[in-house]
Amino acid sequence: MIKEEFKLALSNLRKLPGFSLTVLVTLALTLAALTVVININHRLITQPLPYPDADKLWVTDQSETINGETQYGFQLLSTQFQLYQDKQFIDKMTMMHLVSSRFMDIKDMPTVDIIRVTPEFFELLGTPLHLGRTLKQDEGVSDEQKVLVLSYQSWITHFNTDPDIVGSYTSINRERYQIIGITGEAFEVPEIFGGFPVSGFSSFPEPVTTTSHWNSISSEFNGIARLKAGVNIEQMNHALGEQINTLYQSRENVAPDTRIGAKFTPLRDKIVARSDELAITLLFSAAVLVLIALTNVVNLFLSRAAQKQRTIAIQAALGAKPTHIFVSMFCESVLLVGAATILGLLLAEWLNVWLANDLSYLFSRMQSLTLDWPTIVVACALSLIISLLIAWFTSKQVNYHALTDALHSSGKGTGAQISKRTRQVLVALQVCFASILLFLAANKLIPAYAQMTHPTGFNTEHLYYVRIDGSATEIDSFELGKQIKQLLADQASIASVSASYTSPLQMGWQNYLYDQNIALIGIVSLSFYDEDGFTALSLPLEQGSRFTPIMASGSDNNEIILSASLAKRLYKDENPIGQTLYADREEPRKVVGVVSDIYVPTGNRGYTLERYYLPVTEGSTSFMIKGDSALSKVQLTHALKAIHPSLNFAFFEPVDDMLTQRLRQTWLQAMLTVTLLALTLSLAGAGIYGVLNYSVQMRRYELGIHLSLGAHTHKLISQVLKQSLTPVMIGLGVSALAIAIGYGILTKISTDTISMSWFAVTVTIPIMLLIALIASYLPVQRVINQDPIKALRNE
Amino acid sequence: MNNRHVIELKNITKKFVLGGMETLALRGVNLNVTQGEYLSISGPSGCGKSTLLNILGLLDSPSTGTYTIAGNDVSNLDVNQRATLRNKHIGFVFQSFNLIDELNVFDNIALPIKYSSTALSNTALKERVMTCLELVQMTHRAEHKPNQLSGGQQQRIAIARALANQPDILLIDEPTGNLDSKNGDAVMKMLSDLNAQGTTMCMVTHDPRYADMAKRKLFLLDGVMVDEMNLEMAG
Repeated sequence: MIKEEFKLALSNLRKLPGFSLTVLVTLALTLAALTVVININHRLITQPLPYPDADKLWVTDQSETINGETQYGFQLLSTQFQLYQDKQFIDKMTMMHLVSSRFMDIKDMPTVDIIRVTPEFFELLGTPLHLGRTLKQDEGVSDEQKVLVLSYQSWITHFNTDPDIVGSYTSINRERYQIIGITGEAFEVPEIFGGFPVSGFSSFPEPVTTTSHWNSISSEFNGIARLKAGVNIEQMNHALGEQINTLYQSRENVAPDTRIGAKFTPLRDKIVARSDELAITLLFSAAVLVLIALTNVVNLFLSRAAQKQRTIAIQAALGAKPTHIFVSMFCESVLLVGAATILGLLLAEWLNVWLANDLSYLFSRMQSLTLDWPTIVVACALSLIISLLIAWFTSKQVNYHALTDALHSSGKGTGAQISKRTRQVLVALQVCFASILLFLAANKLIPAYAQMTHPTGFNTEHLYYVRIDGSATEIDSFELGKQIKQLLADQASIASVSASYTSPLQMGWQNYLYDQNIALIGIVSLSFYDEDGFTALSLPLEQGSRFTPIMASGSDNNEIILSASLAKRLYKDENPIGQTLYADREEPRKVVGVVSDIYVPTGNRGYTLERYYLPVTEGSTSFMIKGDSALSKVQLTHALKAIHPSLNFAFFEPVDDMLTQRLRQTWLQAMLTVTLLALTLSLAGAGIYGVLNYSVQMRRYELGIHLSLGAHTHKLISQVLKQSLTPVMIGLGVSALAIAIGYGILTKISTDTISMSWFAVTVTIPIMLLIALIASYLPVQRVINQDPIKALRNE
Repeated sequence: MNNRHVIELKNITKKFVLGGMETLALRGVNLNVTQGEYLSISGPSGCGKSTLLNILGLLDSPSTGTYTIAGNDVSNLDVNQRATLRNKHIGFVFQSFNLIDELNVFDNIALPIKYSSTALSNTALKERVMTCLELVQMTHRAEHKPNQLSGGQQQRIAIARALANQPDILLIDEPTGNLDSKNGDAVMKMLSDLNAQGTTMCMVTHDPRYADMAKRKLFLLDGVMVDEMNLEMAG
């Protein structure tokens, strides 16, 4: 029976290419989008972490509270060591220190990321090994051993897959390290510091104690701990927090009203939290897309059911039960949905390849983004559910009490049709889903667009940030910096050069700032430039002057320059020039200038406008270079050799490219949202058109009578539009209500500020109305442009 | 003749409400159909013939009254139970044939057998279908699609399909309504032959020539059975 039903369904579908193709394309596109999103979500959120007892692993984050304001993300290496020694709460812990290093023995001396770790790292993460061994206990944090476990990828990229590498030595910066092992190919480095590739894991080359590294507070220190059984996290955070704070307070020159604490975070949360927003945005968009596509497909199947009413009536007259009708509908739906699933999966795999490149920049877990079995199983299960739902819903529409009408009709222009109420519900649902998605997407896209197009405040054209490796020269660093700057400035293609410790896109340091009475003002972003910094940036000096040049190593001009926003906050209408501030509670600094704010996008789509600038007082081999045109790294490298043959660029990047990279997540999220939105609106538009077209076709005969009696077309159009727009308005109203309720609930339950853009509202309503107007106008226009007799004859 | 009642209608009424107005299509119809009978129901348009046939075929429900088919009271049956009774006891022949265009002749005839709760082997199914096709002399058209057949041939296939489950009664609705006189005569002869072989038949027709071919004639006027002529008794 089933076999025959499938045969019959296949034969039917072949006779309905328009219907079949529409359902196939709609579902294939939707399932492809949904599958990709499920795949990404699975990779980002639900896939178990590839570490033994991953649920018992915690990241040893710290908190820092200044004047009652707490911030996270910066750890002290010495306090990490204090935690490392704990035996009360922690069963086993590894310390980690991310360092940007150079492989000096490799051609071009590439800059790579290495994590310094203690031996426990490999055991806690169950690190598989391809070759060699991991760190031994006597290669720990205070043993001053220099051993290195290479990552599998680095072994291939930098060491030519040398099978005899284990036991050999390589230079990292100026130190010789023995390579003792290669991690397994499958090992995934936990994304605690970020999603970039890590080239290896070395021992700590110098001892760390609880007092040795008090000046090192950075996001590049951290640890992973496995806790003892039954540990109460709150108690542990409190007890260990007190311990490290006591240690912190016991050192000299502690800033007043400052304390640190422990804030252990589950490893899973730490890794997943970075991807939450992307995952949820995509999932929500895909869910709405599925709802709209389902509404479309159900509408198409309802039309099909109406079309099949006569066949169904014959079957029922011959004794077919509702189950038989359901099976018949199911065979059609499962054939179409099944084909759409196969097509969708193929499309999804293609999209995965395309997306993996961009996503892997943000999350290393995405490097091998491909369809996995859980995703395929979920996609197939969803397809089966969709098939069953369509079959159930459409077979429920069969009116067994009206079978006689269908049986006694000629088969043309039967009374069988989708009810007006069902049609109105379908349109209202489509409008409602699409409006909600459009509104939410607009809410996200507007700030994203603003961020992507906001001027930075300085001129990035032909601006480069470079770092020169002078490690192999014996020239004094101050002298070397001076010589390099002079050489670069003498190049015809270069307009200006400034020494700088960081690129203008990096926040630099978050540093304390004190007023003239050495009272803490707060933690403010700090950057270092020399006297030519603002010229290279083309950053307008609003008041005062630039830095006085520093002529000798270690000397300081004790000057400070403020950003306009910081100056405004500190001095309001007072003149900031000549005011005194402290950056370190020791040396008073005179404000010599105020520069315009710079707008560098941060992770949360905001800007850090309050900054202060200090002069570069020691030798720096990092520079900002402003070119007259695009600069050639090769030419400049060649020029550098005039100072010393070993000089090379360790980093050479146009600031424009760096800005693009910084905006990549925003761009990617925006692009994915726009793609899903475009697909959703197209499907919604097509769906609304389909239903309204059906409604007009139902009224075709009536319209023909009106036309034959001499009715004016504009009157008919307005009459039909009025009828068509009723469910559109209902859909818009319901969506507005749903958004308002959602906003109300979110503002109550969420601790974050929930913002709602009125611009999004003003975008949503006209777009949805325009789509609905076009979808309503096209069918009626087609009917009234024909001779009335055609409508009367139902031709 | 076996006097077992295949169908018993007692005081059947059928009320339709259209545009807020009530119309009584059947007003207290009583009818017994005995096994082997050949019954015709005729009357003017709108007298309730089709309504009565739809009720007899379990395609519609009476507003009041009792309907018993093969001893089963159908008043309180659900959709599935009605489908089972329809499949097992009733064969329907429609004016517009109502063959399924997507299926060939063989599959059209096999359809009611497949809906039956009694599963047949493929061989038995084929045998049964071919027997039905033989009865209507259409075995050579088994693989054809309905739209490849003439009206008369389609009606013969519809009769074969109605016979597929060996029902207790054939309900026939204007069997010649869509046929020319030659094909109509041929179909009517076939029906007479089937009755002669023992098939119980109830036919609705407005053509007095064909109504006369039945052994028992009923006349409906405004939903009331006003006349009955039992030709067999008269004979």
